[in-house]
Amino acid sequence: MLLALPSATRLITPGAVVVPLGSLSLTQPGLMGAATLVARVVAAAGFSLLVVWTMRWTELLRALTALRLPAVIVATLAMAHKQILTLLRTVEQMHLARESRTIAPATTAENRSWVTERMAYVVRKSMKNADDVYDAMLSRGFSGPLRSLVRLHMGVRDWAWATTCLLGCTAMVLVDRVLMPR
Amino acid sequence: MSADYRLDGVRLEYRAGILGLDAIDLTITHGDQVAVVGANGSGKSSLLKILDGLIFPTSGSVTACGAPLTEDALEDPAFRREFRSRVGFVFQEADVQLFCSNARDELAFGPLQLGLDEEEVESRVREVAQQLRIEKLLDRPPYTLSGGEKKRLAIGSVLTMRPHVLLLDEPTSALDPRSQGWLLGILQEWKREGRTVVIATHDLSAAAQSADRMVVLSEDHTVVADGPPEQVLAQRELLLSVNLI
Repeated sequence: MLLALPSATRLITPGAVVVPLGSLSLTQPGLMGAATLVARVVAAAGFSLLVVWTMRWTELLRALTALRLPAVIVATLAMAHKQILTLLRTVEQMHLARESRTIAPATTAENRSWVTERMAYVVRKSMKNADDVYDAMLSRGFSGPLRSLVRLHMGVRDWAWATTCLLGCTAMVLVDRVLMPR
Repeated sequence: MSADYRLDGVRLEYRAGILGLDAIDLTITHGDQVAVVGANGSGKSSLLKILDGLIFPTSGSVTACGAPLTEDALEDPAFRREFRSRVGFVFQEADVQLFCSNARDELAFGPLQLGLDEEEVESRVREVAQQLRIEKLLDRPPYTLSGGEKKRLAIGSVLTMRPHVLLLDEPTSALDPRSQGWLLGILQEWKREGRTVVIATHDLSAAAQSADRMVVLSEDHTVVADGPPEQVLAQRELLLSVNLI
């Protein structure tokens, strides 16, 4: 929303002023444009999260492979996901370790200093892990291209669902652009 | 017996000028079961990484199966394929080694990278999963497994490549007694099969049970003893001096 806000000002999008703030007044077409942008981002992010949260991660990666996403991208996603979970566990353990040894409450400055130092540690650990994982890949014959056993193909039901989705989207665009134009 | 490895005057310095290994002369013959023991930071893991061609000495030479093991040599696809299929490395941290999205892909990764056809890879995956009793874990993401299961999978991911030489870094660390017993059994099995096994550990008991030769690294990063475990373990003063007991 913050990113979209400048486009709502008279400076970027001229038009009828709704909120007068001098040269940064918000205009009616500017606000409409910003609202449309935010709504689209929320819808796209919402659908992405819905897919991720309602599917097993391994199945999602297999599906991406079936959709011909290059193996190296799928492998990178898989490793990044695992790395995030591993690092989250580390962060949780560091927090718990500190809690278990904390008697007097720390000051805000002390907390800030601790968090900053731990962030640096996690970055260093993450970089070391990345090097180690790469070594482990090299050790098992990795030399660039990745091969996978995953062989998923679009079946009749998949095609039927994809066609339904496509028709639904086309219908919505038609309603928006042809039947109910602005 | 032919030599799987020959190390002459190997010295390893890290970028910051920190010494990792110094004056290492070592010959490992085919079928040897070697335990490299030493305190933390003595250079055990670095030695294994050199044997696996992941890092290279600052000076000295390493020969693997009669051919020099150098960065340039591993650039040659034929040599790299031969070497990687011959040598398997089980890392200390299973989380590092298990980077695929599920256990099946993990077992298949090595053989697929070696260019084997998919039927052969699937057959190896089934065979190793059965051998290590991890068939039920095949569709699970590795990070959801227990420590013992991860270790089994890490070993399995190397076994599917059917290596002649196995390098294991701290194989018994973070394992419960039952899993440790299972691992020692596997090491005995490899011994019977005549595979070369090099384990790096500071667990003297596991080293004595699994190896027929013990190499001791000092905190100066040099080899200070090399012989049968019973002979090495009898040298109490030596073990005290290298902080192993």
